[in-house]
Amino acid sequence: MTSETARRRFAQHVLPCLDDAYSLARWLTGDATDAEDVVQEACLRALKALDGAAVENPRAWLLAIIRNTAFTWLGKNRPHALVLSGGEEEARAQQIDPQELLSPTPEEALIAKADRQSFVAAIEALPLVFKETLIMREINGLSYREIAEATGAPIGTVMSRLARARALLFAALGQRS
Amino acid sequence: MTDYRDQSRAADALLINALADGELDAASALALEKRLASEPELAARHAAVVALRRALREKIEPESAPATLRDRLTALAAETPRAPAPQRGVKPWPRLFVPALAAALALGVGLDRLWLSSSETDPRLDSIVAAYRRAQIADQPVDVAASDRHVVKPWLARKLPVSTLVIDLAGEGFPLVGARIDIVAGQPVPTLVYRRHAHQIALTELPSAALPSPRGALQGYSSEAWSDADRSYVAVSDVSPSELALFAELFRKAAAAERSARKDAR
Repeated sequence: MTSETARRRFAQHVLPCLDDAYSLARWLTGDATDAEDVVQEACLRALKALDGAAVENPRAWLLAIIRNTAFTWLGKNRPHALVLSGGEEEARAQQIDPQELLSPTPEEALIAKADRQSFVAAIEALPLVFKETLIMREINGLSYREIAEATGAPIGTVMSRLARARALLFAALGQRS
Repeated sequence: MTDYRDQSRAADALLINALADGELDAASALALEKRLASEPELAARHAAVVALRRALREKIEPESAPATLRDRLTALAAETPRAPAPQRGVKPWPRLFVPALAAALALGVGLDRLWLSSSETDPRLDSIVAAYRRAQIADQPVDVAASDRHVVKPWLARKLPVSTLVIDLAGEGFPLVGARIDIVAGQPVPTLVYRRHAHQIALTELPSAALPSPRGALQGYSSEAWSDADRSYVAVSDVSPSELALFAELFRKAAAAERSARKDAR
């Protein structure tokens, strides 16, 4: 049984971030129903954790739980989709590939012209670590520091992941044109 | 192998991203902006990142959590996880209204839309429920925290023109937590706060006697309203309606006893 304090903190800090939490889960799992399961599970964890202490940055904290829950969920239900720490992808993610970052970027006009569907497809095609960094930055509006906190990665890694995520989006949008 | 030049260009890529994200300190931003002015290729890359950010903001709308999920999670935060017992003689809307209200309550958003039904009730009742909700969210539900009525009563007397009847029901299982001043229909009125186990009961005293009785449920909360010779009372709480009815009964009896004792003393 959770304490009244935990429930109050939950209502105060967690429920207002529900849209953010759901958005992140939706993008990470790629499915509305799965996202609901992940958010529900994450909220149960959050409620339990709130028995202990209040958190300083509830939104980044909740998104960290969402992210961890989503990864656990993906590992259980879609192991092929999940390549994380230790994997080749992670090794590549740590390393900045200058060629990729410096490949020609599409014109501003082309980016502005691309339709929603192109963006959604390009984001969905991103490897998970890049996707989560991009979503946390662009959809959830977290700062670099908050993303670092939520993903447990150093700020430098957050920066290179974000730059690479954007480079991949440029590449995908460039191809479509 | 990446050579030095590539490395420094990759570092530039991180910098233009950081500038577009507003993550550079003023000095670094200034230095980079100077470079952008003289390096068209770098400027084009920066412009592309800015355009991408704008396009994502415009085209990818944030998802809203589905209402069913919101309701379920709001129920988690509610004090009693079990569903409220069905109430007899209650208009059908309050029960439908509970999840939506609870969600809005926890979030503090969308109230205008969700409180449609509240227009049917006295606006004073709305104020009282709003004050109760506010107190539930705040860390401190009272302006003066004291279980001693001889502390609470003088405190209220200093703030309000009217004398407030303060009754301690600790012996009956409803200890006094304290009091606060609520604003109802533009007027400051006294609200006594009692505790029942982990729940709070807010009892607001209103000057006039004419008050529609919201007995049963008021926007999803248990409520009781009654009037005596010169005052009206509205009790709002998330305890069960039967417990609140018990509280109201005890308070009425104690208040009557108090009044007759006062008359005798005169």
